[in-house]
Amino acid sequence: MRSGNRLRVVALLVFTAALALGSFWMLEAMRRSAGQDTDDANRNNPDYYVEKFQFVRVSNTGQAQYSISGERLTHYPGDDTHKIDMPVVKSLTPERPPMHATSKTATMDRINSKLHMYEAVHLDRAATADRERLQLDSDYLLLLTDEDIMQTDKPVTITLGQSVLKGTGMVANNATGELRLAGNVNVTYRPPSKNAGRRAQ
Amino acid sequence: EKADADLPTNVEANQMAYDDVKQINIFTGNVVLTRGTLVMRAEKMVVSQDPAGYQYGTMYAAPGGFTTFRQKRDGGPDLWIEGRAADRIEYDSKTEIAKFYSKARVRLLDGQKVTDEVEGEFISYDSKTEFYSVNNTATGQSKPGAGRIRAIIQPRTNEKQEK
Repeated sequence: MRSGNRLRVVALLVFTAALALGSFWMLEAMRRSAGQDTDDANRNNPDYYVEKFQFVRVSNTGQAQYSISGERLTHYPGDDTHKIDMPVVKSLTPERPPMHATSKTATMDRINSKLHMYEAVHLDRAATADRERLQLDSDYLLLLTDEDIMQTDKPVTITLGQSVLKGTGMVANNATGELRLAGNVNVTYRPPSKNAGRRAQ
Repeated sequence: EKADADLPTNVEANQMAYDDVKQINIFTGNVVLTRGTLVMRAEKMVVSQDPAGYQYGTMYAAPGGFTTFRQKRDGGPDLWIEGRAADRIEYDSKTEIAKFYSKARVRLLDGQKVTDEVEGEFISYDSKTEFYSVNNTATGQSKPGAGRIRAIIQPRTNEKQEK
């Protein structure tokens, strides 16, 4: 009896081994026949592009937060980033003053709450009842759109109402209204407006 | 001098933190404010601005150091005023009054020569009228026995005699 048992166990073992090897062989064959598609990940040329696009980010309550439009959006599967030519970024949330930013190019990171804007970046935030109009010019600007923060390590020129602020290492938090410059700060306040009580002299 | 009033104010510093809601700007790290002939230096400066564009600045001295104020005076080719304070200088660009707090000293100069010198805990200088008042407490009021005020006023040489 015992040898019959052993014979059955051995047969079972051989059968399962053949099954495992067979499936492995099949997987290999399938992979090889799929060819180029599966090694998409390490190619660095784009796999699709969109022309004259508008991308609108919507919050979970269905409320438009910001839009990015541009001449061309090109997707690079390698690092899953989108490159944008002539981007135009607009903030659409009602509680914040409308903001409008443009540059020559931009890239949107994988978690696209990060937008890097490159070359001739110009940003314009409208004035509100309690905040002055803000304009910003720099060669690079990183927009953390979800946290409403923008920063750049490049030199920046900011026009805030009538004063001009220059410096490097700028971080601006639009939510709290804080604007910091971390290096070589140079600010010019323009002279008081003529009509303001000067006539008395 | 009068001409300074209508000139832009320039501020240089190491860092700056601006609060857009309160519209207050804080400069830190060898702060230099210039406006025409007016030059003020401090370790830290807090500036607010009124809608008309006048600035109100409080300049703080570095610990153990002084915050300084220097401006040309009208009425002569090379007349200057220099002031310093150990704690802070409050400057109101509308009234053009500078208030020097603690170990304050104001000197009037003709070229490099000091013509008048005043020391006290608190000095207020009105650059429009070139009038300054000195008190012996940093709060701006004089209290008996609170401290000495030292003033050296040089005799004015009569303009005509000089020529």
